[in-house]
Amino acid sequence: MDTSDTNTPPASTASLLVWEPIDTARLLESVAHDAAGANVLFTGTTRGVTAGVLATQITKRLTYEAHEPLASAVLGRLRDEAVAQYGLTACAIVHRLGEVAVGETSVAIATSAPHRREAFAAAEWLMERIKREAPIWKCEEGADGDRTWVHPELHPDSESCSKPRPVLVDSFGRVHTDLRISVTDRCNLRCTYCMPLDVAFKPREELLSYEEIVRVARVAAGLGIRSIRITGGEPLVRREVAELVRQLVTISGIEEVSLTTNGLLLAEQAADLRRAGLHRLNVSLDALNEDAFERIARRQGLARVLAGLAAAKAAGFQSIRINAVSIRGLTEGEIVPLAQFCRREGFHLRFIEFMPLDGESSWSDDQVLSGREVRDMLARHFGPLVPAVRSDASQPAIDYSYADSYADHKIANGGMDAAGLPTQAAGVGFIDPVTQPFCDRCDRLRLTADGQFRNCLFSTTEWDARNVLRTGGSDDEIARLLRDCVLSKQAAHGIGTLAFERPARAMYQIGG
Amino acid sequence: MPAPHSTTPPSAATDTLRISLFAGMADAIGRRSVELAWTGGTAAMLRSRLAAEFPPIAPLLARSAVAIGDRYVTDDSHVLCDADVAIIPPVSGG
Repeated sequence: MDTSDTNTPPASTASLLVWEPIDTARLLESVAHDAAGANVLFTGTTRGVTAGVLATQITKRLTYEAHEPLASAVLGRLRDEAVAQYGLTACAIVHRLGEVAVGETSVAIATSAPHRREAFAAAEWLMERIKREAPIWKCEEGADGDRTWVHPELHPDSESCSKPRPVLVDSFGRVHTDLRISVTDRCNLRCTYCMPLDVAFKPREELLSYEEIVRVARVAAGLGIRSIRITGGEPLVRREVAELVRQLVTISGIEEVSLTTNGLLLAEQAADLRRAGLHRLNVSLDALNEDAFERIARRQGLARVLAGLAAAKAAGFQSIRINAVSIRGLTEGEIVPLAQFCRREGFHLRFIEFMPLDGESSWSDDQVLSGREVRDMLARHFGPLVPAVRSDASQPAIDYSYADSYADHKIANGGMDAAGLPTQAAGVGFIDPVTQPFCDRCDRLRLTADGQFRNCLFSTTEWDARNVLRTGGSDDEIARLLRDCVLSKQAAHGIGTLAFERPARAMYQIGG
Repeated sequence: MPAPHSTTPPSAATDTLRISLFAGMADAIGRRSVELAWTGGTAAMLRSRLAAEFPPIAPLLARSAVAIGDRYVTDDSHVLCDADVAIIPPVSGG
């Protein structure tokens, strides 16, 4: 990790608004810095020809106007935010006002950073924000001499304008708002697809304490993380998870705290978790048949899971989701029974395609029981599935309602549960990471039980937050680490491609 | 005995608020600023008053943000009589 002090750029005396042609070469020179290995210059130039839906628009001349004091303040704040968020060594922005001839530069951004990733990403981010927030308008004069002020449909979001919010944006423009926190690598089951029978768990002192977890969560919330999901191993085997929940829900900026569990310990803990403020529960359950359950989990426990689900309902959890892994040759017979159970109980059921992160390293292509096949099985039994309206675009599941209950749900609950969160119909969803990767919409980051940041379940690199925490590191250093992790995120997990490299860790060690 | 002085009741403070306009909105009304009698209120109330008293800017107003000084403000923000208010229609810089 680069520990040189890169967070104090020279106070910029360059004007942010100018009325004459921008000297872009000088702008680029102005961000040169001893610690900068990368310098990026972006210039926005006025177009003479814009391809439209109905016709090609010809522009003869552009005029820019600004609310100058506000524009200077906004651009200055964006510049400072970019420096802080991306760890830039320097940054300069100039926007031109008045008449700008076609082909000339209307806006220029220069950034410098130790590495190119930050320099590019910051310039991209700045352009995006300038276009959304700077009180600057252009007037286009067409070939016929008509002058039109451009006021696009997408209006400035006054919420984000008045409160500049830092964001964790990667080099593909994905905004990260979800943090999965694993609290343990231990589990009270040994599901064949996740954990080998003979497993060695990390010594307790290698795992983050709740205090450390909360500190990281707080830093993450300050960077734009809005929801936290507690996972494991099996989170409930860790002592007093409700206490962790209680602390996480109070973090400013965190809107939702949820938890994924196998349900074995839920009967005892559901009420405590609810009282602590846990918003949502996901329960992993792959089979409703005792034998099938034992074959998959390699332990008994179905009765306890069912008791746990009943307790969760009694404790007041709404929109409980059941996650069922689909494995060819193992779970076909459980699909319909699970669906029947969930329809009866009002749980939203989701089938997840088996992913290559088992402990035995025994995954191969032909083992994927695809979401499509499961859908067909369900449709044959229950009738056609109706695609549900997506309430959350970044959610990886494709949701459906059963045709017969579709109408009932629409009348039922107006869409919100007691906690003010959108409810889901007790329908069925499919998470198909193998056949329908959703990498382009990914908004999640991970913190492993032993304090490593990961930007993907399948990534082969980690960022060591525990080390920063335990060597007296500052919150700023934690923030920078998380940012580095985000900026290194690949386009996609690459399953099925030649480039795919199996990560050294199995699911139970990363956090499901 | 002299007649008692008649005392005039104190009038409510009627300050005038000046609001800056820009781009297409200024063009719509032919002016770069407007004035309203203002005794205080929220940004949301200001919007309603502006739309009512200056109909040509109403359509854009619905899609515009309100700024005071060097900050955008939310609709529930209070607008003081001496505030430096500007209406920011959908922007197109960059």
